[in-house]
Amino acid sequence: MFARKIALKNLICLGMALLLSIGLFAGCGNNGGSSDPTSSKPAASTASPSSQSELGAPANDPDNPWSHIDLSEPETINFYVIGSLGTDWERITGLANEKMQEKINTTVNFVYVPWSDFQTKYALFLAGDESVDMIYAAPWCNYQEHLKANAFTPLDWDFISTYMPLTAEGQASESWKEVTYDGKIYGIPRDDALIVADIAVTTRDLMDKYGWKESDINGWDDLNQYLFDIAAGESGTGVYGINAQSGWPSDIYWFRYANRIFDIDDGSATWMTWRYDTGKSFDVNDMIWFAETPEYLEFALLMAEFNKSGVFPADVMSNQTMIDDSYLEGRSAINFASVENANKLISEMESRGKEIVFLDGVFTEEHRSRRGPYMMYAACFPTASKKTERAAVALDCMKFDKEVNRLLLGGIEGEHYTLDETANIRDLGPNAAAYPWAGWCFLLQHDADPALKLQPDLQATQDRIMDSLVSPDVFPINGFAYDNSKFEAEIAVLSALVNEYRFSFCFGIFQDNTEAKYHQFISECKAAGLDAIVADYREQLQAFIKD
Amino acid sequence: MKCKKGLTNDVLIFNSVGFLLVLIFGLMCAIPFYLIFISSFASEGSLIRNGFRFIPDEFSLEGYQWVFRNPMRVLYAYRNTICVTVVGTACSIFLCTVTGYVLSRKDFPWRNGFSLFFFFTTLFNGGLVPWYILCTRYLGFKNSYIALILPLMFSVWNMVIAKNYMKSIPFDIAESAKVDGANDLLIYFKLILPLCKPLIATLGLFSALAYWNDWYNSMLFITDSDKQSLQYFLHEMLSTVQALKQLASAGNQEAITNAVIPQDSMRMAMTCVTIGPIIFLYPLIQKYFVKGLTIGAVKG
Amino acid sequence: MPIKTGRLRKFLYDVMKNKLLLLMLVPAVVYVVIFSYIPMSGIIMAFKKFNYTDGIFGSPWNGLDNFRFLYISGKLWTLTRNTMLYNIAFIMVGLVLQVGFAVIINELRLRRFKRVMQSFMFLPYFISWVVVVTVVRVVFGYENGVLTQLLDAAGLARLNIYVDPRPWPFLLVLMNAWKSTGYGMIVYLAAVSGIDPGMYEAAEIDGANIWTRTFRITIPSLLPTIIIMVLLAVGQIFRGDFGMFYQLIGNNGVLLEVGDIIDLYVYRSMASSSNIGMASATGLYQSVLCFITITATNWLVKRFEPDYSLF
Repeated sequence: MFARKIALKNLICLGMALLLSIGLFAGCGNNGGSSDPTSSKPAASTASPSSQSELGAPANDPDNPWSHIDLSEPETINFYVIGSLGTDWERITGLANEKMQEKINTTVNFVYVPWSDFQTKYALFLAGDESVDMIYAAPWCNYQEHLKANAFTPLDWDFISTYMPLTAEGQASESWKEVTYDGKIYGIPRDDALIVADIAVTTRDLMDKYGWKESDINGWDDLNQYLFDIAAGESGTGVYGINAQSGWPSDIYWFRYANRIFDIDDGSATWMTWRYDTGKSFDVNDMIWFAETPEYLEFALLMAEFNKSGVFPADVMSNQTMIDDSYLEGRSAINFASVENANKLISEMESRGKEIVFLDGVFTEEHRSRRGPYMMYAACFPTASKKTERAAVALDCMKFDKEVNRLLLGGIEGEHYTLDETANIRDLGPNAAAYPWAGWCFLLQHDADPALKLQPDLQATQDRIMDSLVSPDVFPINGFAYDNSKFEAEIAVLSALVNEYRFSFCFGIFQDNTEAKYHQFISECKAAGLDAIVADYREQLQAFIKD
Repeated sequence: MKCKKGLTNDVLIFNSVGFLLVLIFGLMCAIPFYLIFISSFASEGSLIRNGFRFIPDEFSLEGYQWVFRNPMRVLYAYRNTICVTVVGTACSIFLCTVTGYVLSRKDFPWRNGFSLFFFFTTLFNGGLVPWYILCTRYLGFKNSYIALILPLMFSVWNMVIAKNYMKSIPFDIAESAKVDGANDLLIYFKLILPLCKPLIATLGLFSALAYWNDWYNSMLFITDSDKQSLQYFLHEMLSTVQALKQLASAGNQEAITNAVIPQDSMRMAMTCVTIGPIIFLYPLIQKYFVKGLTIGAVKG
Repeated sequence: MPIKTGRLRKFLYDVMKNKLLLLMLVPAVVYVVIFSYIPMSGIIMAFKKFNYTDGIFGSPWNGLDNFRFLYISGKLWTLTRNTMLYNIAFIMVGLVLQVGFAVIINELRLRRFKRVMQSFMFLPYFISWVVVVTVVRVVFGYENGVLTQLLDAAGLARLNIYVDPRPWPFLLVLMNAWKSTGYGMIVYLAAVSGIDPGMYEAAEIDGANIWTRTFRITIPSLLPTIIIMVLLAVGQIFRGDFGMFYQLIGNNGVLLEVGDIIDLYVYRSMASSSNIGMASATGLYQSVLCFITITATNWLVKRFEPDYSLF
């Protein structure tokens, strides 16, 4: 019992602990405004939607787009989902199922898997469970690896236009590229591209205490000075109350945002980056491994300064309090928040009698965001399932049938959310907590969905973010999937090294020893085969872009 | 049994030194627990602002309120865990002692072979995937109480302890019984087992703890929230809270619309909720760890 | 021919003679075959490139590829050594404390004190490592910790344990002892209560004082139990306590210098991948090492006292 339990516990802890550091991939889409995705035709690939085949033209019946499919047998589909359900979840899914029963003679059995278990059980579901008909897939769940290990049924355009006619039409055309591998489509991505953009906030009383005003902060250097000022003035540590368990580690902000460094994010965790300069287009030769950039060493040294002067709390590696809570309780002078989270922080601060201050100046003209991948979440059909066709029809209905989709996304209008049709804005309803918008069905979202009503101050910030988006033409890596089969072992070693050093650099734990440790880190990575991996990556990326 | 005799100097010194050592270690164990206990009654705000104190600044029942937010589920979880623990422990004690007894018999020719056979399973294991496939596909464990009871029922560790303990029982007892015509099974039940009270207490405690603390099997096999074990229920609640907070930083809706969830005090409350019942089991067991409990009976 | 028949005859005779004992073994054997030996076939995944359609038995072989990530890092020896050394320290310190406390508690006269203290010593077992991290913070925290207050009072320099690797080997042993002594002590308590009090009485009459009684009677009587428990622990000597190391050391680069073990390394390297083959390979590596160690140790014990061996 012992040995098995311990070996299994390893995998469990792996999954659990990993979930705690969800990091970059936890973002669930800021529905930024109502701008449509560009309607450019996708590049010509074999699975391109523009190459529709002759057969399988979907029915022209607007009331029943699935009339050409044999739906006479009632079926139940098991759809494994994650997320945060509300107390009204069963009621809403029951209602949705009633409608789906009418429309497509199908019932969907939503099997809820808690966050904590999802990564651990994911491989088990795929390997051992024949009853899984449809399941969430995501980069942080090793979507790439699973599809290469034949976990998901490959689809082609015929299949999609036959069984998912609404999706074939309605899904953003450039999203298909992201789920195509080797000519086949492996899943249905969501119809909404992720935008990652944060704002810096602080509190009025601290600004007043140290004689700063918003207009004083015009860039990262000013922000750093502000932090140093507070650290010098306050006793105790923890001006920026972050810790290793909460929020995003500081390299997101001081390394990436500050230096306009974009991740080449293809889910393979190889940490390739590119630095954006105005007017420049992406070139594979400018692609550089994150720690080999000169900016990284500067960043590490700055973090060491933060640590030594008390900007970071002394227990940064062991505290477990979330940054938002620290900020609200006054244990952190600054915080970074997405637009929608900031929306909530405003009211939370008010209820505590404090005033929130937006430091828009930190993110200057040069600061850019990018529209990220559609493949943040996708629905995939495991190969072991025998009901793939019906599952596809059910998914089509859930994604693009107006009634069912809105019901699943938001619940009941007037109860869980309120909608302003003309402006395409939604707001919290009286019973919003019972069924939060897109609490669990993130992959049913669309770009065109109504955006959350923002407080007026934030709207300007939101507009600024949308204006600063770097177009995918400039940075055309969406949909690229690095094939790591030649270097699996090397990448694993690299992974171990990065995870060993990353948090220590992010929180300046090496203090005076930072530079030496940095060089040690780089030489260990090179010894593990970093250069070969970078060269291989560039090759593959070049081939992808050429297409 | 308080004997006044034998209170010589050496005993006095031994007792004093022993007393001191036990006291120090005991306090080292108890004081952190006190901290946890008292923090479960502290408000989340005070925990964040001022850290964990021996006397919290602000008291509140937030942590417990969140744990007991859905009282029916907590009740079901308790019920499940208690039933599974009682049944599982009984089966486990039986299985481990029977096997341990057979392997402790000096006249059993293959005892070393079988010992290796059992022990080998603690060295090598095929991993989670094959075991999961076996249990769900071929044994049909899905969503049933069997899935909670069976995996923990036989533990090689417990069996080795049983075997070792039974070795200390003189073999003459069994032999003389055999001469009287009793078979092995009868010997086991009527003679040996009554002599093993400390062993049964030990195995009972270990088994009960293993069942009580088990959240892993619930996670793997139970999808019905009414059948979950207590530990899993709590563990799921905590990680959901953590995940929510992570997501809130990233803009997820539910996380934003929900109230601030007291994470730290909830964690403390959960520790207390799980320790609460089982710690009362331990004193019951202690009375079996008394000097001379078994051999005295043997002599008689 | 006659020898063979003789052997076979003897074997059958033994089976008949012990048939009831064999039957009593059947439930456990069946259990172990189903739940441990059948899934053990999954070990072959360590040598395969797993894919979901071919499953465990159909996936293609890939030799030792899954093991490569362990040795190309050059750290394998350090990790293995660390894992083993920490486990040895845990076993030895644990042994002294558990046996020591069991003997002391058994001899102590104050009954209620004994009972209460025993329950106290048992409490840390229930505190999960995640919560232990908080306790460590309170005790050793740089700003408000108990240790800091003591150091300040004594006029010494403060110590920030999270940026200093030196105290950690001791801290880890200390915390492991703290958490598991109460639980591990139970086996010895049970064993001690089985010692014949007559022996003590006889020894007292002969004039032996308590130290002699302890070291000449109690400890030798406990020896079989001690050896068995140590052997059981040695059987897991290359498997680290992942929960403990991850929570206490985790991704802290400074502490990983002294506290990196196989399990932590594997966790870091597979953090962004779900390679079932590699996970199996690590498990197999640890299993083989454990097997070699326990076989050797058991053989050693057998040479001196065949009765005390594990198998």
